[in-house]
Amino acid sequence: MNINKNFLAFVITLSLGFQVHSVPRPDAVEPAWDENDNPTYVIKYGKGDRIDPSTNKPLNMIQILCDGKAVDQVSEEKLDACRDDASLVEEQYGWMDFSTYKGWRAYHAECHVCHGPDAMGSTYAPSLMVSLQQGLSFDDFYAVIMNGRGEAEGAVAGNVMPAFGANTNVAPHVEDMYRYVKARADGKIRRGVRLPKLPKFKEAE
Amino acid sequence: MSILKKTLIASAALALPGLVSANAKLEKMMKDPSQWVQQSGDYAGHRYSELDQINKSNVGSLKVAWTFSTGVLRGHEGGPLVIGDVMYVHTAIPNIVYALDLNDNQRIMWKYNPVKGGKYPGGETMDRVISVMCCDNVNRGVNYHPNGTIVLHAADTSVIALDAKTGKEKWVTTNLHSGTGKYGVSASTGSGQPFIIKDMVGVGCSGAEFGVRCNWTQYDIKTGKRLWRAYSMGPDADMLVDPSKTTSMLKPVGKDSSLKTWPGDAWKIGGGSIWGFYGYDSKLNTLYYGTGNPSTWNPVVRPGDNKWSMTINARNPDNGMAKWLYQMTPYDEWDYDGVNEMILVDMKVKGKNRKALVHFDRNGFAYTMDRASGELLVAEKYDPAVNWATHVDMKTGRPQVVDRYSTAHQGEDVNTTNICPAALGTKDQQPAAYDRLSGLFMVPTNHVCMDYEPFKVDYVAGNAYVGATLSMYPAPGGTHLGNFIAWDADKGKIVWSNPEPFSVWSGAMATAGGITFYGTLEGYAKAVDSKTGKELFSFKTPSGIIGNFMAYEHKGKQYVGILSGVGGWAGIGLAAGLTDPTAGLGAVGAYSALHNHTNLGGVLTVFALP
Repeated sequence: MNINKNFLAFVITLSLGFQVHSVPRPDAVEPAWDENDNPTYVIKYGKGDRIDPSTNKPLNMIQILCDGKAVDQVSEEKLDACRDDASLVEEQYGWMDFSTYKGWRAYHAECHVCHGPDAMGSTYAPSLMVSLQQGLSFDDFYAVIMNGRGEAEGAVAGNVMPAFGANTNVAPHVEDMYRYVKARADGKIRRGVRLPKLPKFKEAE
Repeated sequence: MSILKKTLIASAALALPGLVSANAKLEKMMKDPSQWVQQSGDYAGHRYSELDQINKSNVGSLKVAWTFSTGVLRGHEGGPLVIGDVMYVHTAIPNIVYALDLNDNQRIMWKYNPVKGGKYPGGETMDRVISVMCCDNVNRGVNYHPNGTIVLHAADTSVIALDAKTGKEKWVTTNLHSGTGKYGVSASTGSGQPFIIKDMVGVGCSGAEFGVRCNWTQYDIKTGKRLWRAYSMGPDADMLVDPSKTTSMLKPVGKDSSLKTWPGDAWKIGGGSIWGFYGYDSKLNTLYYGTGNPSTWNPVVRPGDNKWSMTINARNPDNGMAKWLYQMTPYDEWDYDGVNEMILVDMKVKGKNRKALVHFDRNGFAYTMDRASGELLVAEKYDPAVNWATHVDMKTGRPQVVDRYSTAHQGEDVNTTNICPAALGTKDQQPAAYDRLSGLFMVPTNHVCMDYEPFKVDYVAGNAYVGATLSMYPAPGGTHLGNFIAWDADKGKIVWSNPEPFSVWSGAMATAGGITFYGTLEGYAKAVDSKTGKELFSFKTPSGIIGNFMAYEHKGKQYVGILSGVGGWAGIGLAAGLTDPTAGLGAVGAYSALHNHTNLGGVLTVFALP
C-alpha cells in the first residue's frame, strides 16, 4: 500500500519536474584544519537534487534546529515547545567534506560498538560528543585512541579503552573521526543519518 | 584423518566410565521443579517450570521476597541456579560466582573470583580481556554437574570447575587464548554457558568481530582434559564432519563442504562464534548448537556460502562428529548470527508427530526442524517487518534474498537502507520459552531495522575486524523497538504480540500456573497470561533486565528469580536511544533514550507470594 503511494508520489514529482528547489552537489574540498592546527569539518549548505519520493524533500538534510539549537541538544521543555510551534523548527540541508564522512564511517564501524551510535555513548562507554563539548582536545583524543586508557589513567573502574595504535583500520583515520565527532559536538549534524558528502578530494600530484 | 581418529579413540575411552549414571542423575534433577539445575532449566531448553503455586489468579499480588547485589555494574545475562538449598549466582566480568545459603537468609557460603592480581587464569590481564569483548562484559551463567561441580566459562575462555560445596578450584584450563596470535585463536573470549553432557562439559567461543575461527570444545568433567574440538569452518577433519555421513537438507555434505565456500584462506579468520544457549537430546545422544556470523561484516571480500557459519549443528557429544548441519543464512551480509537457543519439543508438525527442534534465528525466521534427521519443516517470519528475504525455499533451505536489501549486491561503499531486521536480529541471545500447557513458544523480540554500508578493512590479529558501518532505528510504521510474542511453531504464525517500547532482551520463562515471565530494558519484571498475553503483574527492578527468569521451590514455597543489570548489545544503541527521538519532531516518542529510565547495577530480585 505504502509502496504504491510512494511510487505515485515519485511519478508526480518527476512529471512536475521537481517541486523542491535544488542545487547540484558542490565540488570537493580539502580536509580542513582550524586556527590551532586541529582537524575540523567543512559544511556546504544547500538543498541537493536527490529527492525522497515519499516526502518530496531532498535527501541531504543534515540537521534539524529547534529554536536555533540542534534538536538532540535541547531540553525536553524546549522540544515540546518546538512540537507545538512549527515556526521554531528549521531543517538544514547540505554536505560534509569527504574527510568528515570517512570519520563518520570509521566511527560507526570501529567505535560505536562501545561508544554508541552517533557518538552518544552507551551503558559502558562515555559519549564522545559530550567529551568534546566538555573540552577533550584533539591531542588527548588522539593519545587515548593510540595508547588506550585503563583505570590507572583515570577510566571508570571496569571500563577499558583498548589501544588502537596498531590497528590499520583506526589509526590512519583518527583525524577524520575527530572531524566527525566535532561536528556532532558542535550541533552541526543530526543523528541516525548517513552523512551526505562532498566528492573525494584528490591531492594534486 | 589420523588426528581425527586419535581424537575419537581418546574421547571414547575417557567418556565411558560412569557415563550413564551422571546423565541420568542430572536429567532426574531437571525434572524436579523445586530446583533449577541448568541455565535453560532442562536439556530441551523449555525454560518451563512445573510449579503452579504462583498462577494466573494470584500473580498480581506477587511481592519481592529478597534481593541480592552482585557488586558488579555491567550487563548481567543468564541467571542463577538452585541446587538443593543453595543458589549459585554469577556476575559480568570479573565473573564472580556466589553460593547463597537459602536456609540461612541467603548468607554467602563462598565467593569465587577467577581474577587474581588483575589477571585471569589464562594469564591475560582483565583489562586486555575487556578490551576484546564485543558488546559489554556479559556472561551467560554457570552450570552444574552432579558430581558436585559448578562450571564457569570465564571471559578469558578459561573453563573452571569449582567444588559446589566449597568454591575451591577442582581444575582450570584455558580453552583458547584472548592474546594476540597469528590466526584463529587471537582475541577469543568466553561469554556462553558451559554445557554439561554426561561426564563432559563443552564450551563455544566469542570473537567473530575479531577474526577468530571459533569452535566447540568438549572437556572431561573430572580432569579438565580436552576430548575433542570441532571448528565452525575449515577442512573436514577440523570440523569433525564426515563427508559421506554428515548431512544437510537430508543429503551428505560431500568432501570439503566448507573449504569450497570461502575464497582462499579466508576461512582461517572466518568467525562462526558459538555463544548462545544449546540443547541436548539424551535419547538421540545429540548436542545442538548454532554458529555465528562469518567475518568480516563486509561480504564483498568473502564471496561464497561461508559454510558452516550461521548453521544449526547436530553432533554426537561423545566424539563431536556432525550428524547434520543446516545453514540458515548462507553468505551473511547483515550479521545475522545463528547462535540463538535450540528448543527441543516433541510435537505434531503438519499432522505428523515429530521430534522437533525450534529455533528463532537472528535473521527473523523461526525454524521448525526434525531434530533426528535435520529435515526442514517450517521456516516463517516471526516479525512481519522482516524484509531481507521474501521466504525460505523449502526444497533447498535457502532464504530468497531481496536484491534491494542485499549489502553485497548493493556493494562496497554503498549504503543499503531500511533492512529489517537490524544486525541485532529479530531476536538476539535472549532465550524463548516453551509453554507446555498451550504448546506455544513465548518469544522476546527486537523490532529494529538498519542501514548498512560495507567497506574494505584490514585484518590485524587481536583487533576488531568489522568492515561495515550501520545505523539502527525502529521498524517502519511504529515507534516501539520490541515485541513479546506467542508463536505457533507448527503453523508458523504469531498468536499474540505485546509491543514494548524497547527490545525485549530478557529470557522468558513459562510456568504451570498458566503464566509467562519476561523482563524489559527499563527494568520491569512482568508476568502475562500465556494464552492471551494479558499483563497480570509488573514490578520495576533496580536496573534494566537482560537476564533470564528462573523458578524454584524452597520449604514449600515457590520463588521466581531474575537478574537485573542493563548492558550487553542492548546497552549500546538504546542507552541514548537508537535514533534522533525528535526526527520530524513528534513523530517518534520523545522518551526513547534508555538512560532516562534505568541505570547500571547487577541485582538479583526474587519474588514470592506474600
